[in-house]
Amino acid sequence: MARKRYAMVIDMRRCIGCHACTVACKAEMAVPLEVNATWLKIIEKGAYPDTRRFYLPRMCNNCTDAICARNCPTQATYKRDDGIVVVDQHRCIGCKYCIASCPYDTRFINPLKNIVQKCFFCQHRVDAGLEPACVESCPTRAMVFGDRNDNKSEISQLLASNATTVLKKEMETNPNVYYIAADETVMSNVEKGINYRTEGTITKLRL
Amino acid sequence: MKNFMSSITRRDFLKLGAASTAMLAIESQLHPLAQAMELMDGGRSVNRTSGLPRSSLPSTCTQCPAGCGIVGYVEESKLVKIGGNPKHISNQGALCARGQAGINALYDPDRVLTPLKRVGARGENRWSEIDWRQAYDEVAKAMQPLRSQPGQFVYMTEDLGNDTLGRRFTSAFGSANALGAAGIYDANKLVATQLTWGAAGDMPDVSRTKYMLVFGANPLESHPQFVGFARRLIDGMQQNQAKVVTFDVRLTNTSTRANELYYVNPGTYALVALAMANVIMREGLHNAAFIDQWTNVRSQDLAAHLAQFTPERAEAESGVSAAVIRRVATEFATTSPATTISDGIVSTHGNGTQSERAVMLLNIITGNIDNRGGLCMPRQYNLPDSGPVPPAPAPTALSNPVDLPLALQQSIDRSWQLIRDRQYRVGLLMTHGYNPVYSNPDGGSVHDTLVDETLVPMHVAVSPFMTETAALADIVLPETTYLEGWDLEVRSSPELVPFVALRQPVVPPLGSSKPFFDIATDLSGRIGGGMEQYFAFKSVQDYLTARIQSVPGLVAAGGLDYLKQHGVWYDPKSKPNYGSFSGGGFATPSGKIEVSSARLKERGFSALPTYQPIPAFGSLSQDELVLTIYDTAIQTDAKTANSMWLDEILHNNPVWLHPDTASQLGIKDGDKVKVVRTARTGQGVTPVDNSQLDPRERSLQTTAFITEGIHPRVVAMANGVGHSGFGRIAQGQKINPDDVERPLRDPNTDLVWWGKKDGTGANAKLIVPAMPEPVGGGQAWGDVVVTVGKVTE
Amino acid sequence: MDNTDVNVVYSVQHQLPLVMYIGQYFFFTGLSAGSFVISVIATLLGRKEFKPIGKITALLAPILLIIAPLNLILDLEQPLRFWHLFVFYNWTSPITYGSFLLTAYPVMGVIYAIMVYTNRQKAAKILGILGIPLAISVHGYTGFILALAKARALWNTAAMPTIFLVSAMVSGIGLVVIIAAARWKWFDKAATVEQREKDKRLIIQLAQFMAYIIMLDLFLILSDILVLLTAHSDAYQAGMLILTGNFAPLFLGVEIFLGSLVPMVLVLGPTRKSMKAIVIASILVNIGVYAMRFVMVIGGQSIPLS
Ligand SMILES: Nc1nc2c(c(=O)[nH]1)N[C@H]1C(S)=C(S)[C@@H](COP(=O)(O)OP(=O)(O)OC[C@H]3O[C@@H](n4cnc5c(=O)[nH]c(N)nc54)[C@H](O)[C@@H]3O)O[C@H]1N2
Ligand SMILES: Nc1nc2c(c(=O)[nH]1)N[C@H]1C(S)=C(S)[C@@H](COP(=O)(O)OP(=O)(O)OC[C@H]3O[C@@H](n4cnc5c(=O)[nH]c(N)nc54)[C@H](O)[C@@H]3O)O[C@H]1N2
Ligand code: SF4
Ligand code: SF4
Ligand code: SF4
Ligand code: SF4
Ligand code: SF4
Ligand SMILES: [Mo]
Repeated sequence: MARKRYAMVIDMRRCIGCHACTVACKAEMAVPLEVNATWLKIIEKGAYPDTRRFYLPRMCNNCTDAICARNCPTQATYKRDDGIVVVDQHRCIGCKYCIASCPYDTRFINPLKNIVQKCFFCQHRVDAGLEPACVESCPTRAMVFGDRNDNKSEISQLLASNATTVLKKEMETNPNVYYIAADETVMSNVEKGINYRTEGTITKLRL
Repeated sequence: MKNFMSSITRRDFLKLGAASTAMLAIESQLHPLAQAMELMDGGRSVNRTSGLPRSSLPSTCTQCPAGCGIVGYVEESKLVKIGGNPKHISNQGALCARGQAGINALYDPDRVLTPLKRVGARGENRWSEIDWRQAYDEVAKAMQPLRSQPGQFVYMTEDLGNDTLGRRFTSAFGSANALGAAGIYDANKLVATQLTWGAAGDMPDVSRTKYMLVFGANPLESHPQFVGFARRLIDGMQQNQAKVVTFDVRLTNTSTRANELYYVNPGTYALVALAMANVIMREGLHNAAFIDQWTNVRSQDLAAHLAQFTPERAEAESGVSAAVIRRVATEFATTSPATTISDGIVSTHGNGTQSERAVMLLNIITGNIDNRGGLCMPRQYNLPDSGPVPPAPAPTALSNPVDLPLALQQSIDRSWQLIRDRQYRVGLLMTHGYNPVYSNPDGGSVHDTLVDETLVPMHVAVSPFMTETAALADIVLPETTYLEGWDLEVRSSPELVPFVALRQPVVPPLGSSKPFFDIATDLSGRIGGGMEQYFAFKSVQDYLTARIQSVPGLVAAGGLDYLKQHGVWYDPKSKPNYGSFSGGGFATPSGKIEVSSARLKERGFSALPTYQPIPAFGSLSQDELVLTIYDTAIQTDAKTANSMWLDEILHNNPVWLHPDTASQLGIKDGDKVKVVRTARTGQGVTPVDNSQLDPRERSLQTTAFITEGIHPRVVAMANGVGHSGFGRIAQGQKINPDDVERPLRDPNTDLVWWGKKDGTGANAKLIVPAMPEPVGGGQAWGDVVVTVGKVTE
Repeated sequence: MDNTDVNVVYSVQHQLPLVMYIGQYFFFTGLSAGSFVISVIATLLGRKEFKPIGKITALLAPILLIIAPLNLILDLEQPLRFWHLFVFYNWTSPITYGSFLLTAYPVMGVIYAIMVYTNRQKAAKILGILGIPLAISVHGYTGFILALAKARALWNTAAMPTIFLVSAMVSGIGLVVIIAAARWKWFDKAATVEQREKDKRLIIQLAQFMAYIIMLDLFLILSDILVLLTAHSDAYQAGMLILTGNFAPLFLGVEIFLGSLVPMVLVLGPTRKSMKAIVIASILVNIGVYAMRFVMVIGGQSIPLS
């Protein structure tokens, strides 16, 4: 059997910005308050009455060329054969270099366990033949997960028949989370002129 | 997995099902897969470290009215996850944020787990723990003397339609006063639909339509069938290429997805709808055959009536251009099938009932009625109460809406008013799953009424949580949450195939909390005097079994046992059954769609759908703005703010201001502002005497959120936050886990960060006066006029 | 992209993974590398008057390098697992070669110090020559740690390791000057007037050397910033962050003005003969370098990546 290559496609034509994926992940991965393995970015652009809102569900891209794994000094972060980038919770020393190295802000220190975590495509569910928790919960089926190397899988067909983008292509990490019809601005970094209505995780300065 | 499953026979898991509550307690001693087996091809979940399947049980979410199918996953008797039930025809395995966060409510560290008796004055929030025996004694002692005037017993709940037991209990006592809060939400819509096509409510067939006109509904963010409906709506847009056009006063999750979105002056969407209907009739794009055969008006009479609603007039009053009205009307009439979507808000203005009828009219004149892809009538099983049903008690001023004869039930606001004004004497008030101090209009006056022992001599709150309302009780009876109790859950099906679903305990009741069935049964036994005969069921399962006898297909499939295994049943051969009316007509006096309603005319209202302007809105002064309070996908009304996962996302509600409005008022983003209700509130179609408004200043403070996504004359605030009670999580306070007993202990409560940083918002409803709409009796939430000013300290 | 019309309605803020322990660690390794290099130079020159300085610095280098990794271990979320670094090493991670360097260098430094103190000149010279690349690597690799974290535009430049090295030299010399001056002031009383005059001249020379290195440092920083401002948008943002943003006061005010320009004037200007001025300059230089570590470590992470 060919090697699997897991990937996720998020179809922004279907996403309704409901945060179900965020909460699914909190529950599935026991992600504490303050931190998020996946979250939703929402921006508004355009002047009244031509204003629109754009969403972007964010999570670890489980990159093919994962800088986090390359920079991890203990090989606690490593890639599985199927492409999922995982963190060995027992090996990680918590040097946080991977967090600093990831171009997507997707890793965090679990404040209750003092260990580095991130989305790992729900490897435990995938291994049991289940979809990731966020994918299962998505009310509008905006998220599709599967094996890219299987031509018959829904994800391969979606990728084949749609234009897709990834976050920060220029980082050459080759993300495995693809977006269909994502807005360019919401995909870019937060720049000037921002206005945080609601802030999530606080920036913790632990001096 | 598969192999494991086949090793358990069907008989085995029937047995397991029958004993499931008992089994939950000893679950860990059983085969670890025992309950996971029950679902077979249903939802599954595995432990993150061991990879082993988790025990599971299907049930129903009641975090909002949608009633999605859930699966509770349990490890060592602890609920570890709520997933969607893939077999449920409505949500098909998906769940929204609130559905998944139900686990937070179950283990809310401030849950009430023992009966409480007030110490000190009412509202002082000092309690002593008592046992159930004493609690029942105290309640029975207070209720027994009322047997001679049973109407003095008043029972109030959020959703009476789904609270058969509450009604049964109240009727068994001899009181007609089982009151539901429906009046404060979609009452006008229910009345409008009932009057028009003889069924309460509607269900647009969105997945199969080609065109959707959305009037003040926000189904991709809040909808009575949220997950199931949103999924189908997106399917309609993406797979069916349906076009969506929205009319709203602000940018919503729905309008942002729409092909076209228009900002409309508040309260005027009926005029837009009527002008479109006018265009359709004038251009001859209507379905004359349908109108003639199935409605009680003739096309030419209707056309003549509609002629007054010209697109130009609509443009002047609604702000939507005549050209858009003409074009969209033409598209709507020439695209088939097409439907409108209008939820609660379209009817929560002083002109709500007629507005809803105006929107329905668009579907009627184009023949988009109960057809594939059109506006369909709701499909829902009606499960009558069974067993020895108590006789209907004599109506009272509270139960019977004398001044609102067309309303389906009394407006609960009016009930509160009658009690407050001493026009109705209460002996004992029982509130059940209903938090009017937080969610009613004029919650301040509800609060004052509850505090006054001469108005409410005894208040018993049946509630798992110390809500703002429960805090004003004499006795709190700790009910279980929805995850620990039983009930049948029928809902209007977004798939148009009716279903019956079950709510069963996914974990045993925590502490000494009891499901409402037990409370009602025990209490009726203690009160006695004959009322106990109506609760003579061996068990709640007996009671539920009796109720499903009216659905033979379900009985044949295995009845309650089937539901316990699968969570939901629907007839697998059942189809949407479009055009159901073509056999026997509509359930109206004329058997037709009553576009012209004699019943409305009799009461002095326009027989034909019409537009009644809200006078105050047409003459807003420079500084007057209209307040809209909207629901979000993160919180439900009064229900979910004790969930930390939800609060972390949505914990406050800054007021939305258009940049032009803000700059006129000198307000910058993030400024602290004061929102003040003006005397013009209620000077609309709703006859509210402003001199009767609470004389105390009704205002609130929040921060400003400046956005291009709102009508310049409108300000908006999210519903569901701003609690002054309901436990510490709802109020954004950290809790030291060491101070919390198991199983409510959770280290996360120490990480609550938003209360200090962002605050927990303001309850916007407190500044809204009670304004029942004159036809349907629904609260006119939308008629609030405010001023907004910067707070300078 | 014009983002003035963009409202971020919802997003989450992220943790700052690396905090000041890391900045401090960089600071101390820098001091250590700087003093080691000075010590070796003193040893190699072999002149008698350099001896005391050679001795002080030979002692400082390993001491500082024992303090430095303490910061690192304190920063670990799982400090008791620090040994994983040696057992589960990963050669593509700069931290891995850092951990071996960090072990080898203090060992070498201690031996070198023993040689210096026991006056075994030849061995000290050989060890010193061998040690310089090690010292440079120890500090240079800290620059690589930042430079190889591609995600952070402020760090991800080729100049980063060199800037770190040069600023290490600056702070190292500064520290040596302070200590030498203190010795001169309080512990050198027994020496002859002539000897004291010689020592003073040496300290002044050292300070002037420091000022020239500051110039080099400033040049490197200037070129780094110029490149940042003309590179891609993230880099531009990073440049603006330290030039006009939240970190501007620390960068322009403390690092550049107080920590570089003022000391240069003090050391090269009219006060160039004043011991007091020189010591103040050296203190300022160290404050400046500490600020630089802060700006780099914290500032570099303060631009949201999403
Ligand atoms: N996710 C979610 N789902 C829910 C709920 C929830 O809180 N969250 N609550 C449940 C309950 S109990 C109910 S009753 C329903 C309520 O669901 P809805 O009836 O949809 O009620 P709202 O979301 O309050 O209002 C819908 C839209 O009307 C707009 N609106 C307000 N005033 C006007 C106006 O004058 N003109 C026009 N054209 N638009 C206007 C608002 O901006 C809002 O976007 O949803 C149920 N489902
Ligand atoms: N301005 C404005 N006001 C509104 C609305 C609006 O859109 N705008 N929405 C209105 C609408 S649509 C509605 S439906 C009402 C809803 O308001 P309410 O009728 O008060 O009902 P709920 O929000 O369902 O929550 C009632 C209480 O039930 C408790 N509860 C939760 N689970 C359980 C349980 O299992 N058992 C028991 N006994 N109690 C439980 C919760 O603690 C909560 O405090 O609010 C209305 N108020
Ligand atoms: S759950 Fe689905 S629809 Fe909701 S925000 Fe996530 S991706 Fe979008
Ligand atoms: S997104 Fe970041 S954490 Fe995830 S694999 Fe890529 S580099 Fe690593
Ligand atoms: S924090 Fe853990 S996973 Fe990340 S780089 Fe360090 S050891 Fe590797
Ligand atoms: S795949 Fe799993 S871990 Fe990743 S975001 Fe989704 S729920 Fe979280
Ligand atoms: S829509 Fe969400 S809250 Fe409502 S019933 Fe479904 S899962 Fe529960
Ligand atoms: Mo509601």
